[in-house]
Amino acid sequence: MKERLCEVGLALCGCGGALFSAAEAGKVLAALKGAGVAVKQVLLSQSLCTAAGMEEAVSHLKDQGPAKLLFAGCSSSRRPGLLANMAARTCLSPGATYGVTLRPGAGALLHAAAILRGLKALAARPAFQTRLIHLEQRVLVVGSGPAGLQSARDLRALGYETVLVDQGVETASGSEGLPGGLILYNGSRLAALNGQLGSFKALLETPCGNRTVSCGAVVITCGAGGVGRFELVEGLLGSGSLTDGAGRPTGCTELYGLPIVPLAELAAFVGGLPRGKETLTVGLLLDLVLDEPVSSMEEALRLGRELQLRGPQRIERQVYLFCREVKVSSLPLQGLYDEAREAGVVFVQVEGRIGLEAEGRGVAVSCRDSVLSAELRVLCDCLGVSPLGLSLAADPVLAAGTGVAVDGLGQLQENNIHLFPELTNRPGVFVAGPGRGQYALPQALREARAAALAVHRLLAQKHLEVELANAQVDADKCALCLACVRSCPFKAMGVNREKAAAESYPEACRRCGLCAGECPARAIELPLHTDAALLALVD
Amino acid sequence: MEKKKIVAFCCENSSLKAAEALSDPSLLEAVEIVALPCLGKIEIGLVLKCLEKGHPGVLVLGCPLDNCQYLRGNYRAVKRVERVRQLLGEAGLDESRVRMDFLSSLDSHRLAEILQGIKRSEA
Repeated sequence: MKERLCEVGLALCGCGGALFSAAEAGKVLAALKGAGVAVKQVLLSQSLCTAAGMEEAVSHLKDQGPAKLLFAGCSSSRRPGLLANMAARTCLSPGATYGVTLRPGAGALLHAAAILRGLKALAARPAFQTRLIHLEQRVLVVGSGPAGLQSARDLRALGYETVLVDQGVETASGSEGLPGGLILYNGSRLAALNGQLGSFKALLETPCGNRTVSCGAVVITCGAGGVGRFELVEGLLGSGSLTDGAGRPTGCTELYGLPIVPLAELAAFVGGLPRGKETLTVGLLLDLVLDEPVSSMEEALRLGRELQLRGPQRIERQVYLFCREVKVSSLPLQGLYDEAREAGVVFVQVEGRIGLEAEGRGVAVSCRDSVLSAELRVLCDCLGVSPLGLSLAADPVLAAGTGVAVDGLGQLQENNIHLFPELTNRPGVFVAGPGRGQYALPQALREARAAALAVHRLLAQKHLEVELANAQVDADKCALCLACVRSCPFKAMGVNREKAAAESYPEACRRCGLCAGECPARAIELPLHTDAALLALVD
Repeated sequence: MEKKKIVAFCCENSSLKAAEALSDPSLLEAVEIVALPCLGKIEIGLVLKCLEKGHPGVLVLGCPLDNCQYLRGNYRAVKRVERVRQLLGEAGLDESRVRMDFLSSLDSHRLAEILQGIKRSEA
């Protein structure tokens, strides 16, 4: 055991406050020595999880580095992305790194115990063969609205061949506004997406028949029905001006002809309203379809206060904020709330259904106030709604064809805390802007850029070295019931026609074992957690 | 023969971290911890086998819903645990021998409560 452990290098990170000083790290190493373990190389860094700390570690480890590496630090040192990145940069095989979490204040002995557990896990981990996955340097962008064009532009600038697909017959900007070297399919839709990241085969239904485009990654930016709610005018990305659905040049969009706009565009919309009336009533509506995050509340509070205070002298404004719950969980939020209240914003805490109907040129909001226990009906000249409330469900054909799961609102991103804004359940498929229900333009453009960068982060490696530790299917036992294909959250299972059995793709498989748990024929096994090993543990 | 302990299937990403961070590690002696990459790996047969081998109970500890790193693992686990309990009920056994709970990696205090409860009921 001792000899094998010695091949392992140890990298200690102090950024999370887990290890406060070199002295404490010394104590940890002494405790390790006391347990009879000597590690070959120790790297002590204040910030392994930052770019600078990573540079330092890579330069330290690259040439004479150990065969295996254990990270110990705060919880971020266990992030799979960080470990994979580190492994790639230091030329270690992907499975030769392991991360353990050190809790701040746990003390040297507990730290040492955690490190020891990590060393044991690392030593016990078998070595797997690896496979080199070629990453095609071509990207498919679905939707040619502002978000799609922004992504395509960024991707072209990064040097990727970019294919743009849009259901519309013509891009609003015409071909002049498009970045050079872009391949455009108008009046087309993405019907199916086969293959895995690095070598997707996208089936496009075009006016001149079906086409197959191979691409390394996909960015989906189109929202409901593949038609963006924003149309593009020339030079949009420079000037930021837009037309609404009817071609009127305005910074805002209206929903179904009603003055309902996203929160982000409300201030501009209110500024443009005719000033005939004595009092202008502005409603801010949160939690329309689901419980919204605190950030929406923060935005609404700030906006409400601003609208209430910054009105022109002659026109009085009254701002109502409708929400299910006033979320003031932090001190700054509490301050914002107080300020909004002092400015004169009226808070309405609603319960049950919220009704919206057209009345005159405005919108009537009817709801039940849970504090007053009374039915209310407020006539608003305009209504700001968070983008979540405005979004329509995504095109079901697109969702089914690409295998991207939708959330409760039908957006192309599952409701999960681990999915960063650009991520979908399917590795290699990214989503931005209207694709995930984000119709507020500045945010949608930012997301489009983030998605382009995410594609770059993936494809810039040119090749992906993956460990063949993915789920293994016993072809003799497999009955091809497709339970695994259906249940895999990452679409990493498919059918191998030669073997007449299911097969998992190592580049997409995340080794969670859901398929193994699901398989009625018990034909699937995770090499890292075999059934025999699990049973031995409970004996 | 040594008395068998309750088996605790822990998701590596949440409850196992919570277990590692327990302020009183001796509490862990009340159960036998089996780490799983994700609760989606748990099988009905595996849980039943534990009971068959004479373990007094099975504790299934996963991430809070919508918080699974593998997106849907804990939803699948909920269904499987429900099925196990249904099977136990049909066989006339005590359904409460299989228990499920959702812990995040920061919920060490809740894990401690659960383990103390087990210790108390055994004593």
